[in-house]
Amino acid sequence: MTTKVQPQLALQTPASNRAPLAFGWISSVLIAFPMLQLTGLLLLGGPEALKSFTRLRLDATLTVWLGLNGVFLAMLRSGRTNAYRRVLFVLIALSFVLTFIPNLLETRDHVAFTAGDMADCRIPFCHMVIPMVLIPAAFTKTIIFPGSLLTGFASIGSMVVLWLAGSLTLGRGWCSWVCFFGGMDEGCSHLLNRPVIKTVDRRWTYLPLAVLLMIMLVSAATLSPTYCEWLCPFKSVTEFESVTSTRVFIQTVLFASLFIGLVVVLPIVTRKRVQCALFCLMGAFQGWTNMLNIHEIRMNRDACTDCGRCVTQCPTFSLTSESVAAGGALTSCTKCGHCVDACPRNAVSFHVKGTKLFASPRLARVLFLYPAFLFLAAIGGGMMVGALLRIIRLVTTGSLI
Amino acid sequence: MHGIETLTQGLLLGLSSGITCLATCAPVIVPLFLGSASSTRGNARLLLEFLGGRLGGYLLFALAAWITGRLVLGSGALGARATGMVALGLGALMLAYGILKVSGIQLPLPAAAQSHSGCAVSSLRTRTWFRECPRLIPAGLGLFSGLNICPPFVVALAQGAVNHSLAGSLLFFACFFAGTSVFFIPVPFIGSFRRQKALVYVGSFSAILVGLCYLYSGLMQCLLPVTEP
Amino acid sequence: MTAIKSFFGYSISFLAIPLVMAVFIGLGSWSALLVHGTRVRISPWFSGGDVARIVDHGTYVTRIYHPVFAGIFGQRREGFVQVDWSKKAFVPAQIDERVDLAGEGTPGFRIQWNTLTDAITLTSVSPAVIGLRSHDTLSDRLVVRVNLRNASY
Repeated sequence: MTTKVQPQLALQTPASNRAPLAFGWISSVLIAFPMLQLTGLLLLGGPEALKSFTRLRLDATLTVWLGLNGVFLAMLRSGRTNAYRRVLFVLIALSFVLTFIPNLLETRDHVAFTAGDMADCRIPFCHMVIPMVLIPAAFTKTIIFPGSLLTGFASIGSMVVLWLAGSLTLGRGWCSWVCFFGGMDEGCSHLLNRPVIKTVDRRWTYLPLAVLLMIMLVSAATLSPTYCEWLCPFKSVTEFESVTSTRVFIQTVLFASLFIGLVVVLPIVTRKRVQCALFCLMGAFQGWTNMLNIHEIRMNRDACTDCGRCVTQCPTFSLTSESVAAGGALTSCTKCGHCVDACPRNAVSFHVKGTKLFASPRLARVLFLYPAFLFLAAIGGGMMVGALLRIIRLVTTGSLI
Repeated sequence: MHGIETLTQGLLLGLSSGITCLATCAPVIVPLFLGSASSTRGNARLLLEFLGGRLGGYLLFALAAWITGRLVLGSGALGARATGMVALGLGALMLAYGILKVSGIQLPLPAAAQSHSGCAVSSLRTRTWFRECPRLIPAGLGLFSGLNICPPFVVALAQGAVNHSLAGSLLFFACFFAGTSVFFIPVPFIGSFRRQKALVYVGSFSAILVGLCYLYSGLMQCLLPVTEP
Repeated sequence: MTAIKSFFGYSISFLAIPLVMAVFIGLGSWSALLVHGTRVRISPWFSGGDVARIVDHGTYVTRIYHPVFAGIFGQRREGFVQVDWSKKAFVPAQIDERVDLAGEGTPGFRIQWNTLTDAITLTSVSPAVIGLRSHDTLSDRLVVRVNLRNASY
């Protein structure tokens, strides 16, 4: 039960084979124009919000806004999704780190949080906590996280609302278009041209479900966010508890090891998103939202030649030969578009559930791209602006803070 | 352990190991259900008898575990250290169990000890009893399926043994039963057991994670100073 | 039927766009609606719980919170009680407070805290007191948490 991880093959298809998903210049501009306005509204806000912008912030925001829309236009014009999405996704992950840590240093002077920070309930809430808080919230109407419900950066209320909206509109597309951690292992997975470990046992794809089950149950029993305390690899690049006891020391060693192993080393050597596909409990949780979501990936069995390229190239092990034979992807599909771009026969496409299969693949793709890109721009765009400002500050003053 | 803690821990251990229990016993139980009754009401009655037998078995073992615990472990600082050692052993057992299950490695046990699924139901003697007394089948199946000496059950036995009160031990096993039974409820109604292999792997990984938790807990209990109440 | 399903499919898909915009633009309002509608609070294990009594010292106040024993079902065997001193600027450098847990006039424990050297001493009076859990200086107050046994367990 293994999946061979094959070297990235050059797409040996004539340009005309990509025509079914690409738009002409006029159509691309017309379709992209509303995105220009919508992202402008999200990033720049209204006239009132603009008044509070400094000249530097305005320039940075305009730069990011134009860059994002340029990429969207390129997506429409070329018919390719993943190549452009991946670049933005990795940039957003880097931007997140570049903004989050300096923000922490500016607001509380230290990256490691203390018992006092927890007592003050000022810990930013990230979406990975959501599976853990559901059972205790249902039984006790309390949120087992030392954060703020409505105020401050990444309040619990706002993150839950964003997650609900993202799950409804994107399903597990959250993992490839919104999650600001996912770009880290995706970026690492493309550092080498060829994988060192070519075979990954598919039994590992069941580990995230086991992690999800155990973490949800243990968190409910202990009324504490167990994944955050023990297993979250991304504490290495965000914030972590000050090492003041043996238990915290063990936790620190554990999360640092998980980050190095799952986010850096294994993605590099396998060219797969190992953390996202083989460990992340949020990813396992989001898999269920794919059942509700209106968008999906489908294979045209008439055009498909079972070459297996989509199966080998899927970064999250969401395609098997059985699922391809059945004409679709597994519920773990993150809708990154890699298979759509990789298929030499254009047999893989986005599809809107309930509509006629393969009748309008371009329309189905645009209907998915719009909310996905809006989410990416709204959340990631802000981070990119912040990162740009930090970089400018670093260059001009020698310090990020 | 008292009251709510007992309930919570028993329920959660049962839930976390229920998948493993089901995956182990289902290949034997599901065909027997399918062959016994045709209506949903009939299946529901069978299921209740099955679960009743299973609960009875668990409560008997709760009593046995508690008696063993009182005789062997004692109390005080020595009891606490012994509990830690037991937790370490159980953790290692669960870890090994999970690793063997997920890797598909079969231990070189004698043929009599190797059954089709590891479930006590499948032994020849058990099947002979059922053939002679078919009326006993649902409750008897439940009783014997509960006697499956798999690592999650061993862990539950140990937890029952370290309980200070008989009521606590009985409560713990009742909750463990409730947790494992959640996974048995849909069995008679779904006709076939799809994705059994997926559940085995999820259960195996869960066992590994539970084992790691017990290892850590046992280590802390053994190494950290014992504070008397 | 196929046409109806297609219509609904494309409609729902298209509606995702205004939904996303509405969520981001009105994020504050939606968050408030969710929080107030569900009436969730931060778990008392993190927030310290609700204030039970306030002791007014004139220039500063001592707030004694309800003991926290909440479990997912019922209560736990052990928990803690939070005490804090607010109007931080007026809190004396040497805190010496006898904390009455039950509000019956009998102190449960005594806290002596030199906030300049951060030396703190907990003197237990009630048998329910286990020991000091934590003490912290926050931006606006000083907080102490003391581990307790649940007397009603």
